[in-house]
Amino acid sequence: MGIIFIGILGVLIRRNIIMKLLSLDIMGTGVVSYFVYISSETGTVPPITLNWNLGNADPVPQAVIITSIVINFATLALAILITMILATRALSLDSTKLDKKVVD
Amino acid sequence: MSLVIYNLIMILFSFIHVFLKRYSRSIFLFQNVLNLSIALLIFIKKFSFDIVLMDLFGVHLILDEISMYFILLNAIVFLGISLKGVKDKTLIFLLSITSFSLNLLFLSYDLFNLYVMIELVSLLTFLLIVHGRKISQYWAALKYIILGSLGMNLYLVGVAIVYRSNYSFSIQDVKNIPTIALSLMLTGVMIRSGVFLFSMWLPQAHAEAETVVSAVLSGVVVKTGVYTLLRLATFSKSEHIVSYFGAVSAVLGVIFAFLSDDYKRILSYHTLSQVGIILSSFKTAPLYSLAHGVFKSWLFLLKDDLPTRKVSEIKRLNFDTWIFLILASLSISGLPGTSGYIKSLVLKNAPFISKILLEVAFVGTCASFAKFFFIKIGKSKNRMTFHHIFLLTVSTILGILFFDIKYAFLSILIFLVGIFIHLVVHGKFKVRKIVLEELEVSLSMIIILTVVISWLMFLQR
Repeated sequence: MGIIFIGILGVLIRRNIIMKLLSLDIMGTGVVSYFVYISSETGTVPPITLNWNLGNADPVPQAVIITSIVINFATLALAILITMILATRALSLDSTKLDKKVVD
Repeated sequence: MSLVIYNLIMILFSFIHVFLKRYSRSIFLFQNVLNLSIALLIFIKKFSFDIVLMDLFGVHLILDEISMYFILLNAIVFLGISLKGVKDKTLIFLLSITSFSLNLLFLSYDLFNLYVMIELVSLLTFLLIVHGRKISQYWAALKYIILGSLGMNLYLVGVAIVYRSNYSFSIQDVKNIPTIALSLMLTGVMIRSGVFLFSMWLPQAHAEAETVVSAVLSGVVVKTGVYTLLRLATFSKSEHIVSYFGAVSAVLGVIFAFLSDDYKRILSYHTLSQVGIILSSFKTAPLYSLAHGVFKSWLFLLKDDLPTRKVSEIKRLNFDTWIFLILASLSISGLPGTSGYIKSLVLKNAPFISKILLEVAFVGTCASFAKFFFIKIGKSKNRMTFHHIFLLTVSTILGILFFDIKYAFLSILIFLVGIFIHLVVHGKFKVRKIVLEELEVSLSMIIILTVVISWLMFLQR
């Protein structure tokens, strides 16, 4: 949970878009770690077995969160591409400056 | 089941637009006619299914009353667009993938699958917004992606907490979960759905995108959030909180729409307000979304026929454009016999406090569209406008199907009051861009509102 809060803070505080995107990524990593933590609550033995015991990790959250990792990757890639275009064409990466520039 | 396979096949089939040199437009048209006929078939025959794909923890899909309306709306809006004719091949490709992904989204019924589909549609939306390659579009899209993925991360944390307490991702189990999880999920979805204060990226993104894209965004893509909210809130007994936020959003959106001068900006503020109206009564939400999608995409498509985006500079219009503009404005103002008249059903089902706010919003809607009734008619030019005729027919059919004489007088009264307000206040105040739309402000707003929502939930328990 700590990582998620660091991510939110980063998104809030930093004005630079690249730092914002990095913080978003940190937040995503935090979410993934939280899912992994949940799956380890029942135990930490890898669930690759035919006879199911109490000590096994829960495979469902792990299986599900892989999708989210891929989605985060795709989003980040697209966002960084757009940031590159903005940097070359608007000559700024500051969110407040961009907000003013785009109006005019 | 066959519906799901059909949609998957059509998504694969859409890749044909990448390779084709000609005929892309007619294939797109054919796809959408097929889609509409299937949607109509489902709607008339009342097909329904409820399946879980592949055992426990699988993907839960459902087709019921609620999804039917959304699928029909999707088909209608896309047919309208393809009748108008999209020139660019890449745009056609993206649009046709979007249309079938949306179909699949409106079928999904478990928390994680909804997340995946929403992210898929939002990535496609992102590509659609930047299609015009203007700087403002890039910035609007970037804002959208930052706010949206922040929201979706919050949603995922909520889903994780749900799984921890229930050991399932199913929506029916949302009843007994910690309030914090529910409030995180609601915030995440509301950012996508276009509620005022939550999704302030919306006016800029919808106003800057290409006309066709704006029609899709306002008509259907916003409804993905509405659909998720509907599913979430009905099972978790949090309709009241969402509906009050909706009513407030309806009024605030209308105020800014009334004060702005840019045609597309007016429409996007109206989207904020109309989503508020949709959410303020959950019983009629699917129906009113259908109506809203029809007239909003119609209004957006009309933009290409106008000479300029600045409304105060339009003095004269061609007869064809004029008549359709008037009819569309009447539609959104909700006179009897048009699709906007479904607002009477919303009014009937809304709780008492939101009723007053809603009536204010209706008056505001009429007032902000009253400026189009005073435009003069110029020379007539005959142009092929199938899409206008198609959307007009749909709107009229909807209006006649859900006609209710009880509210006819009230709606005419609201309309007249709106015109009166327009005549009194017109042109005295103007807003170009509001502070709330800036990235920093809307980010901090979202964090504050998350706290507010969880506090409200806590009070309700």
